[in-house]
Amino acid sequence: MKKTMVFFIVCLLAVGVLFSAGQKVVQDGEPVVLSIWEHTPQFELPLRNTLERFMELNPAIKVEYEIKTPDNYLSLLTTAIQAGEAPDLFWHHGTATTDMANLTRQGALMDLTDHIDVSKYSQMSRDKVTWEGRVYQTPAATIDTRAAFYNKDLFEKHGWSIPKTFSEFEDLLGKIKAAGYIPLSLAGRDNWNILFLFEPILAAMYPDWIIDAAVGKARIDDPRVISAMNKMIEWAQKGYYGEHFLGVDEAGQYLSFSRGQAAMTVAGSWTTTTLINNNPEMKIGAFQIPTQDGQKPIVLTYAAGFSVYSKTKHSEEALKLANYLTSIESQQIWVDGLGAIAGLAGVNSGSDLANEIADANLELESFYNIMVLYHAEGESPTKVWEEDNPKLFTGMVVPETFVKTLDSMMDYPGL
Amino acid sequence: MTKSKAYIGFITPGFILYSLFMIVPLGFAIYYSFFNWSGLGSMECIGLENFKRIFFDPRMSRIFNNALGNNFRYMAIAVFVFIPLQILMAYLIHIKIHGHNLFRLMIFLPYVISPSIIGFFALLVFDPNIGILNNVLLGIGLNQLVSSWFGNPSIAFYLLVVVIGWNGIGVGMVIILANMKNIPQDVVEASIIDGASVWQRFWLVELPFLEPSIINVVVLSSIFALTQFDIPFIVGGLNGGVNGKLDFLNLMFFRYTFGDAYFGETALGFGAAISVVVFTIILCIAILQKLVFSRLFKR
Repeated sequence: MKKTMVFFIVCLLAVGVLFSAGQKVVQDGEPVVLSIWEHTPQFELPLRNTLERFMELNPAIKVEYEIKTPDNYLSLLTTAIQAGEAPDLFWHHGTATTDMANLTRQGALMDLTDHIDVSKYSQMSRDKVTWEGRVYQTPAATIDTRAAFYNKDLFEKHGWSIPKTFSEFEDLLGKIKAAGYIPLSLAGRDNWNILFLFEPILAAMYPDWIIDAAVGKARIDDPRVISAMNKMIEWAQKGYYGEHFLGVDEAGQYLSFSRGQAAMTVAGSWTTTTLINNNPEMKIGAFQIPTQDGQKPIVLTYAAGFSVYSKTKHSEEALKLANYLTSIESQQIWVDGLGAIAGLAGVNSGSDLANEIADANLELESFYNIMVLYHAEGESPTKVWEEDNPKLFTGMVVPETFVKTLDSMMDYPGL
Repeated sequence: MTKSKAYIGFITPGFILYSLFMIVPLGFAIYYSFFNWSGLGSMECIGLENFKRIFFDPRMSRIFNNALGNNFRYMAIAVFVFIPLQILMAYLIHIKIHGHNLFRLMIFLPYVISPSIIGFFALLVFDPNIGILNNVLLGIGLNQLVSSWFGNPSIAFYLLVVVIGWNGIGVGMVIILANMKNIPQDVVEASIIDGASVWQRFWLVELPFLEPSIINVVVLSSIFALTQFDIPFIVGGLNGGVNGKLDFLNLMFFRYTFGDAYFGETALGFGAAISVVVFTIILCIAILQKLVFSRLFKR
């Protein structure tokens, strides 16, 4: 009995030693786990595809991503940074907003200047990720813009054609309405979709104002801006967005287009994949609203990528990922996944629809970015714009006073 | 520990937890309200500037007053419309009208659904283009009744009240019903023998017994009305719906404190000031209600 007991104990010890040795081997072979945060579900597919390829190339690194929602992303990120628990890499707006200034001042971003090569990117793209001469974020090869998406089947059925001038575009809206469709579905309760409609209207009507305003040489309370706002309101009064568009949210805007109730919708280029994937049977085309003299203006904003958290425990691996995210290969995967427009030599646009969106001959700055660029210290005209632009349609805010309020919050360097 | 001090042992755990999760954060909120602080980086002490901005900046005070007005309007409806309805429904169930069990289930059921889902249901019903209601109205030829619903400034608020009411009216009813079941039956029976009608029995005999539950429901409804957030956020969006008709103080707090990723702006100092003001308003109303009730029901 005693011998049996000893034998069992020896066996148990042996198994224990072998098991613990095995564990050690597994631990040594375990990949380093990086975490990365994105701010919107719209970017999940390109991010997942990009990370899968990165992990294929770097089997010793595992990357776990989390997709947040835009309405609370910044607060979550801020809290995580305060707690010292931020992800190894995270998305933010770069210099397009105050994100970059706040995050660098806080020391939350790793200086990537000597670690990633951004020389192949355009100046506008590099500016988005550079703060006080140092690079803190991976640039992005995608160009964001807005476009009029249209239902090709409806256009063919009714003999409508893509307008070549602004007047033709207005005539087209009237024809579509007369045929019993909503000409342009619009989320009237969503200030962002109102912006994405207003910017192409302004670009088509007064590109000269945008060119001047982009360098701080034109005021926001300019009669041309008022006129473009009035045009947007006039179309609402004519029922071009549908009779009850004020109660429509973003999903409703896309759904009425998908269901064939609306012949067109103006939306961001980043919705291309969403529109295609949700409407596989539908033939969708896109164009830019033309100017009266036949130019095709396009409102451009460059996207930004990811920063490395300064307190990451895996800086070597995080930098490796940042480096990959800057590569042409990674950017091509991203652009393909998003169906986006490419803004970098060597990267092709993600779809035929993206090429249609990019068919333009006049590149213009975004109205929103102009407010971000030239707002006075301590003022936030963008917030006023966001809160009040839906009120333009109810008459609670009128263009003349609205632009005056915005103008009072600006500081134009060229005037 | 002596017998007379034993209560300290019972109170301490709760007191520590309450202090940790209520008093300390409240203290921090008051502290932050004196700063200009985005949540990151340096904090700049600006004294009462945040409070001055809330009350005296023309634009901000307009937004604040509108949101506060919506909170008060909703509170008034909750107290003067919902509570009488809750008492009536509880009474009908109490006297066991035909189908009372199903009736109780139908009224209480929406409460077990998350407000976020209720908001989503509301959008499915009231979306002007794809919503069920407009499509049904169009289908039966009532085109003149088709509306933008939550996009219509003249009805958006009342529609929201109906949705929130549908979601939460069952809770107060259940509290009052529980109280009704504890009314001494001998008193009720005595009133029947004395020839009291159903109405007299309810008004003169049973209603006075409902005082504790009614006070509770009034206080809870008022706090609930002043802390509205989820359903207005879902059906009206971050900016408080068309013309700010669905804006509430909590929504305003969220908008200015955290902004969103597109805003690229957070203002924790200013948000803390809004939260302090909201807290003070709720506290004042709770104290006022306590004073009113203690006078009203003084025996």
